[in-house]
Amino acid sequence: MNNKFRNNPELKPLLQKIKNVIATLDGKALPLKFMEVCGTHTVSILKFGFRHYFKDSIKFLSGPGCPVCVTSAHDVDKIIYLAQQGNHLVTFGDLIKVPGTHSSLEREIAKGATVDVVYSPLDTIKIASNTKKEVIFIAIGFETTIPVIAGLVLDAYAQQINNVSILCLVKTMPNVLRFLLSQLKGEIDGMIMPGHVSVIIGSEPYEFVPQEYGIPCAIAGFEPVDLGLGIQTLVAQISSRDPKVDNRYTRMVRSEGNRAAQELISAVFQECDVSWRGFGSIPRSGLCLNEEFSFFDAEKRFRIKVKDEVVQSACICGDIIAGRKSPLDCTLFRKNCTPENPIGPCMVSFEGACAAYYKYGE
Amino acid sequence: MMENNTILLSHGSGGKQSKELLDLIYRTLSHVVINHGEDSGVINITNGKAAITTDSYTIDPIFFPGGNIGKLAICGTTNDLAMVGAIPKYITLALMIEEGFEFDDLKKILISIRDETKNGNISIIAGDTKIVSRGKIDKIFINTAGYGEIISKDTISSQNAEPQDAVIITGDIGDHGAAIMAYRNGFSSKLKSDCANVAPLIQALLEQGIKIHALRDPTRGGLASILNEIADSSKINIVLEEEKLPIKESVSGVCDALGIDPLYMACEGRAVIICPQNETDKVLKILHDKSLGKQAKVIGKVTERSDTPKLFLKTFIGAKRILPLLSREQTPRIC
Repeated sequence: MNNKFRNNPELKPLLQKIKNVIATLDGKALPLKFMEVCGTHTVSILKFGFRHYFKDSIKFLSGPGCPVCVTSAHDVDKIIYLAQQGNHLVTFGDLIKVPGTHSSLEREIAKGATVDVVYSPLDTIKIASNTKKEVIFIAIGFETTIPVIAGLVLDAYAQQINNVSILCLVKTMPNVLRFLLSQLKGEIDGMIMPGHVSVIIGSEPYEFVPQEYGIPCAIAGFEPVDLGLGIQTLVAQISSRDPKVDNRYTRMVRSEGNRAAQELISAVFQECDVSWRGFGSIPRSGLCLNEEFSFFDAEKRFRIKVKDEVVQSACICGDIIAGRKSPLDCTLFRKNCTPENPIGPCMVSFEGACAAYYKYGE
Repeated sequence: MMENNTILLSHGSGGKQSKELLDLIYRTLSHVVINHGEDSGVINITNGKAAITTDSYTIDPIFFPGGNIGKLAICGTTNDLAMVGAIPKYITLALMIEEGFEFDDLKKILISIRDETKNGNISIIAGDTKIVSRGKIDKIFINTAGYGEIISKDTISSQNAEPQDAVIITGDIGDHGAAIMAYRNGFSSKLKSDCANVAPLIQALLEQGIKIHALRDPTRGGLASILNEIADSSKINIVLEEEKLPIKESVSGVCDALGIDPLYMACEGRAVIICPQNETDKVLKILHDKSLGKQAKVIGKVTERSDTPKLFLKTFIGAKRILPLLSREQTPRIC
């Protein structure tokens, strides 16, 4: 294959150089601990063999960047409740198998619930135009997906499609990172920031990480060369003791981000406190519909009666998302918890750390 | 163990759950089945050996870039015969058609079937039609049986791969699966299915006396799944080299966008040849002379015998990781 970011003759020498620099680092305990915030990075790191290649020098920790994985069991229960009430649900495919406290959408579909899987939230409009039922889009995702969800709300508003609403569970990046770092003080040597999210928000929102926590940051893409360049700058920043946000994904990411997408988001949403699996509620770490569009808020339109239950489970998805543990630390991994029969969301999503470790294993 | 009491779509995906389904069938039918896990069964006839196979075809969409369900049915059947070293001779053709199906569409499918059988020197020896009321099936299903005469001197079988054997693929990986995925998701792309009859390629190799140990067409479950099956049957480890894998940039582009892996995508006009190292130059020369084999490449090798057979991938950066048998349908990702 002729992809210069994938199969590049300069890649192996670059990685060897990084290994050499790591070997000469003064006063740093090895392996270095780097967190890749985004689930797609976790997949790339395992798929292209970086974990294996750097096994003595770098430990990669997964972060809270898989939309399905950070959705709390309580929120999954709300989704299931809405399906049980006879509403027509529209969702991304990953969500179907995620277990809530007592059921999953997959099981509700088998019992007759109506759930459509789409690739674009905008398909919801077409679905709603062809039914008299209430159609609810389950809005999960980060800054990458939110502009399209904003597009759905604006379209529904403009076309006066009144049987559409969204269950808004979207989350945003900067504040969850602040929360995470306040918990993991001194335990992380570098962060690989999410490439897709950065396309939208730019590099500026991450500046507090080196400034307040002294942690080196790289914005990186998802191909082997991108990852190599990202890891290179983290190691160089450690070596020179000069932490900063270094954008190594300049073919996609500008420091100010995508202004048009940001405006679309702020036209429809406002910041709010949301609950994350593994963390609980984090101030201003998500978005809800603003006053003007609150008509489309499923939580306001339907009385969602779901108890906030705590179920005892050996599943450690929450700790994995928070970078505290690895899937290999979980007693359920590969034994009770598999992609056919997932116990936690990290085994369901393509970008979930457990699914990635299961698929790209040792 | 079956975790579910009903058949799921993933039981047809070529992965782990397909294996569970086949295990159930083999277990229940036990000794009345004389073919275990090869693409075609082999029987003794007066002047040598013959191969018999059967397959059913259902695809959405029935017309796709690079072919249609008719072409797919003929090529799928001839390819299964070729995979045990047979030259395809006869095919049976059963058409199950949904009420309301357009005659024009049926004609197009029949013309493809005619062209493909004619080019392959194959005769249709029996046929059947069933019309099914609307909604009972999806447009048209095709079932075939194929009969071919074996020209290979040695038995070709998934159990016969040996340490140091070379792994060769006759062309680019994942074209069919990616073309169908792109089409279904409304991507505009120039991707075309690789759907083709590979029997003439195999015939050329065998007529020139090439020794082939194992031979498979990487259809359902793709390259990674069939190599896992060969590793398992032959009790060997296989290592593929990522930088040698022929994958079109357009194919890896579609796969990356949907979050799926081209190594698990179906090909419909490729063969994977496992043969002794010293045959590779000759094999490549013969294949490169034919238009269908122009892109043939050595992509890996059998490394050693193993009680825990595995398929490995040596990645671009030189790291080694497992390519497992996948356990469910590949689902597109969120973001």
